[in-house]
Amino acid sequence: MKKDIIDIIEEKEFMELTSEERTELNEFCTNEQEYNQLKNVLLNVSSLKAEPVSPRKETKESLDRLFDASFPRAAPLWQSSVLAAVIPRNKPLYMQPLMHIAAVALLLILVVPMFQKEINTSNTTIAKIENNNTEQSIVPLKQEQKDVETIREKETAIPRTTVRTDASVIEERKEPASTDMDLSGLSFSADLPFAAGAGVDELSVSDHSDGIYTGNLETEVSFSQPASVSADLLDLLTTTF
Amino acid sequence: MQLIKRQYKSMTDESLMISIAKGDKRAFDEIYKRYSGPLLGYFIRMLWRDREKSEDFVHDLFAKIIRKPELFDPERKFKTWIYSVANNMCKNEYKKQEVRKNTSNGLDSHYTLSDQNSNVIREVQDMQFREDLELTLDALDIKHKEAFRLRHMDGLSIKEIADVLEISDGTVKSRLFYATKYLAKGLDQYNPIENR
Repeated sequence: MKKDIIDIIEEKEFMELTSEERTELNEFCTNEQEYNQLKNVLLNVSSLKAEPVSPRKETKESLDRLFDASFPRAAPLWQSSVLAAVIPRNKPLYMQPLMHIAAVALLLILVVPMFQKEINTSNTTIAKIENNNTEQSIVPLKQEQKDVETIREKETAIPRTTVRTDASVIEERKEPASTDMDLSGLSFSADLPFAAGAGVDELSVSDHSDGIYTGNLETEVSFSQPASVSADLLDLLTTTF
Repeated sequence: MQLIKRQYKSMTDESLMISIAKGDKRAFDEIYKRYSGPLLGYFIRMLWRDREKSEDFVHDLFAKIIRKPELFDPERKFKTWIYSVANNMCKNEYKKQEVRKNTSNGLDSHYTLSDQNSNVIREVQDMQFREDLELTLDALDIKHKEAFRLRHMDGLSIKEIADVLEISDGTVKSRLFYATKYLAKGLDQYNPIENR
């Protein structure tokens, strides 16, 4: 830093002044006595070097709060540091890392499409070859399909067994079992609770879906002969519904 | 981390101000670190050694930087700009308080002498000189006083003072010599060359 006239007065004696300095000083002091008076004051003042003072902590804290309020969306510290590293302000534009990155990116943008074209042409040839292969493989596939169709036709020719649902079975079972069977040949003893002449039609029919007898249990049902003697009765008893 | 700290430390005041305008807290911390102390000293000297008022002025000055950082012209030197703002604040305060505050002895308890280990006689002489200096300076008109203080208390160069006060270099020199001659007359009993 270049010294000004005040520094020169503090440092030099009147006799040591150069002609240029004297010319500059002539405007403010004309003789040595006046020069020395100025020098004395300046030396005295410069000797009064005060210790540096610093503001209170509260002042800074208050300013910090004000700063946070004024810049609520201030960039985080890491962003500031990243930006400072990528865009240093003390470097010219062409020296900044961000410019380097941008240049590399631009090169990539320009170069990659060139490679991309080559890849595309090779891809079309591969696609053609693959098309040929698939056409060849379609022929045996068609033959296979025909075989499958003939098998299906054969299957349809065979009458299918109808699968009866449980509901239909239940409906059938609700019908009285006696209607399906010829009970005219059966002979009942007089012990039967109902009259012999009433016939089979007058038998109480079970309302139960499985045909279980649900009549009056208090009246005993009995046969005069064992069931094994009469095959029809045995059939009736052993018939499973 | 160390690298980042160094970067802020090596940044110029002007570039720090640009960062502050973008909301960079660390840039503000760095500016505060550089100038809060010297500005507090300046306000203490300019505001009748009123420490409380000086603290408030420092707060207000940095609050201005936070609220309106765009007021700073990056083409200008920050140091001179901030001192010119500080100087204008003092002028406004002078206008507010037409009757100047008189301090009892002109010494502030926080404003201690650097040469504390020297002998008692020297300390007393320095204290006496400081007291008389302040009294003589107070008797000077503002424009001479502020130029003298900026040069000798705050260490600004003639060019920087010219920038702060928005006057020419020649006018600064003229004011400085006027103030020095005035002090020489008022403090003629102190002769450091003969006494020391």
